[in-house]
Amino acid sequence: MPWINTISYEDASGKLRRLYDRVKGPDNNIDNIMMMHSLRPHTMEGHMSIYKYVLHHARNTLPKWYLETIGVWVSSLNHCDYCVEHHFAGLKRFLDDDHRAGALRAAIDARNIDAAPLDETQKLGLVYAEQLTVSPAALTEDTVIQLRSAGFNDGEILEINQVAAYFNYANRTVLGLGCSTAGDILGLSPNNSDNPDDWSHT
Amino acid sequence: MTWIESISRETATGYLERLYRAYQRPNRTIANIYRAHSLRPHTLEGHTTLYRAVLGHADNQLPLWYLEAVGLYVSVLNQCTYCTDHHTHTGGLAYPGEPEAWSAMEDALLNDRTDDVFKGKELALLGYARNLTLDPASLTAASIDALREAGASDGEILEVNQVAGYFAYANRVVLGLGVTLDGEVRAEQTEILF
Repeated sequence: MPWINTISYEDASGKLRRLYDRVKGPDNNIDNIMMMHSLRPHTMEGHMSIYKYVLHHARNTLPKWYLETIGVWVSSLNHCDYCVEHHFAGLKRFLDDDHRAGALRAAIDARNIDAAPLDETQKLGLVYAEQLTVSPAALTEDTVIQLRSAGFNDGEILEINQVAAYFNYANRTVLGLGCSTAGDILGLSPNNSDNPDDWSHT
Repeated sequence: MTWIESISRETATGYLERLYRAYQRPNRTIANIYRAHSLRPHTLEGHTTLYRAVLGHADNQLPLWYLEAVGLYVSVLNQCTYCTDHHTHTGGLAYPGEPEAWSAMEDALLNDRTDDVFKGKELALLGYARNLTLDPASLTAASIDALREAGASDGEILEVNQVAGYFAYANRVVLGLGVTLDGEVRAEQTEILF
């Protein structure tokens, strides 16, 4: 049970019902995190827009499994089990290699990125995401210079920044309102990257 | 201005130019935080959509100046000078009372001494924003019960959650990309956008 009142799909009307219809998955399933917004539907619109654009948009160039890995990593650092479970399921789906996904998860759970099945550049992206999550004011230009010399271009650095920053928002939506996975279908996402207006979860 | 490359308003074309036009200030300047998105313009669209929903939307019930105060407080706690500077200013623009009263609130927020001037529901919700910023996993159902006892409705708790959550994002855009105040122009007005 969430800590604040929420409105179910069946009881929703007006703007909330229209938004639920846009984001719903199979059998009118609405992810609990979206239901957290039900007393202020316009905030769901803001949330879906940023989520879709930073994680499921055709103009991102880093692979989706890597963006999901950053999301799981940030969520783990923030102790947001809801986002870890949902986005690990998504990561697994996009990576399509359960053995490697398991090794990634083990490294994240153990807070040991060195052990992750990633190349050195990808690992450095996770170190940046960690600093951004845990002590953002301590970051300096040196970190960005290191990311660049490891092989990331500036647009890719921006993509990592956006995903890590978005999860710092989403984790707080979950942790601050008592959102749980009860009744959710894990790992559904607004996966159609070719259409930014398609918010349906599949 | 930023540690990564960015594109000026004058040299922007296509999709980015259209977004810059939509999000420029009345004096046609682009906030440095927006310009930081220019290599991936779609992320600017996501950012502004969330920003306008949590802070500048007419369906929020807490007054804009209070939501600005929450954003300012979170930015202070995250040591985000850029956002602190902007929202000290826009909070003052949004505050309908005496300027001295906003100054006292501003001092309390900047020095992390909210109980100097805030009381009741306003003080309790600022405490919630503080915990959500510094140690989000420490919050419990009892934290929310305490807000209700102080007079906050569930919808108001959600509003503060969203503003604090948005600033957790925005502060990291600034601090993680090295967005500075160089060449920045302050807003001349604050407004409910929708």
